[in-house]
Amino acid sequence: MRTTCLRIIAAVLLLAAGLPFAVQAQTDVPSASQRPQVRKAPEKPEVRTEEIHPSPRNLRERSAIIVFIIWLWGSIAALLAVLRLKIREVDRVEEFEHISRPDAPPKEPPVR
Amino acid sequence: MTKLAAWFEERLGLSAIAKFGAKKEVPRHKHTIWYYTGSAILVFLMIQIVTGIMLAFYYRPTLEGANESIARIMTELPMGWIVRSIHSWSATFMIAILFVHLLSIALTKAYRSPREVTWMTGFLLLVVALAFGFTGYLLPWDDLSLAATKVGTDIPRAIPVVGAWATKFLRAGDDVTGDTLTRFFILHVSVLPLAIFLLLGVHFFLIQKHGMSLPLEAETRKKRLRSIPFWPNFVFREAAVWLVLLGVLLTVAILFAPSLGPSADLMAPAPTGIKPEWYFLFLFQTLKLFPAKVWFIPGETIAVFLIGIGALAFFLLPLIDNRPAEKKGRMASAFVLAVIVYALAMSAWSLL
Repeated sequence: MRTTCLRIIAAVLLLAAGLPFAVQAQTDVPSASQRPQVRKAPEKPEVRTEEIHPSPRNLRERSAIIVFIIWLWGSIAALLAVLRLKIREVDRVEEFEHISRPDAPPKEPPVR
Repeated sequence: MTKLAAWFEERLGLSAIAKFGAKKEVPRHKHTIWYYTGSAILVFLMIQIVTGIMLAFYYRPTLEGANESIARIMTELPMGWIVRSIHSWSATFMIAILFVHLLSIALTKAYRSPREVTWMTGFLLLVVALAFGFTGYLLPWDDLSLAATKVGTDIPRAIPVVGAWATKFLRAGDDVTGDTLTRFFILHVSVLPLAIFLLLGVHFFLIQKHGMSLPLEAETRKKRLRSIPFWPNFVFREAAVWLVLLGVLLTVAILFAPSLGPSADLMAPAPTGIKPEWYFLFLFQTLKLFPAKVWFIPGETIAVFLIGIGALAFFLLPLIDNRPAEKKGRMASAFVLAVIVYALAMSAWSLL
């Protein structure tokens, strides 16, 4: 019963994630009656004379970029913390194996 | 799941690779930090391949289409400007780390016997990376890239006998035209990738064959050093470095995305203040230093000759500095340091 409920919730969430795209797609594409019927003669493309500076076009894009950079560095910090723990763990295992080796060279201070 | 794993194991024998990784050891000493540069280069190369393929889906290597297709990538395609920016910045990062990698090997004398060929393949990899940068610079086809390519492809002309032919070969004609663009595109996406994979294969094989180099003092004193297993101890450390580099790359690529000038006009005069990419600045400034004629020899020919000798000396460094490890002198280190100081000073001068 619980699993079924969870499945339904997951499905609803997935559909909800797709909804904005579907709405956007519908609003972006004009209906057949709205499309211009008259075919224009092919025009010569205009020559661009100005430089293109890639930058956020509006406040929404600018905010999205700032949020993305904060999320990126937050994720990196979290992953680095996990990696630090894993490195300590595997180093400790290696240290034990090293001590138990009969031909081990003398211990040196660890390189930081 | 176990059945599937057994099926793959029976056919591919992947456990041998895992065993190899666990058996391989990385020495631990005060120069260990330089070991991380090798894999960092590889990470940036992978990023370049992925973003390069994405850009190639939309890029058109024609006189009419090159600049416009990049403008379309930047303005119409979702995240197109970021993909282009990541491609451009990862090239810069890769070449910067390549220089650091090569110079660290030169200064720690890790090129000594039996690693001479490893050094030489590494040097050739740097040359191929620079060629990637040079050919890629023309592809946006704006005024600056056209003018810089005209200057760059004119340099080989100073070489006696074969120079004129080399310039003609690079340009696919007497001048930089649409044919040059197509030629550079083919070099950038097919010839140079083949060369880099071939050289990387040989380079990796030699690294596995000879193992990682030890510091000179440890080898001369026959000192035994501690080492850590490649998997997982060293790979986890490398992963931490990759994460930080990836973060820096994405941040820089988003905040400082390269712009795109208007489509190049073949008949227009060269714009003022032409500058190549930062990694060619020292060569550019060296060429500018020489007068038009020194006695009866063209100044450019002397400059190209001297640059060629310097590059050849760098390529043959392990053979020039071939004394046994315990007798390694300071001459090679002094030469490498002089090259670093010269390149930095010339680049700074060129930027002023």
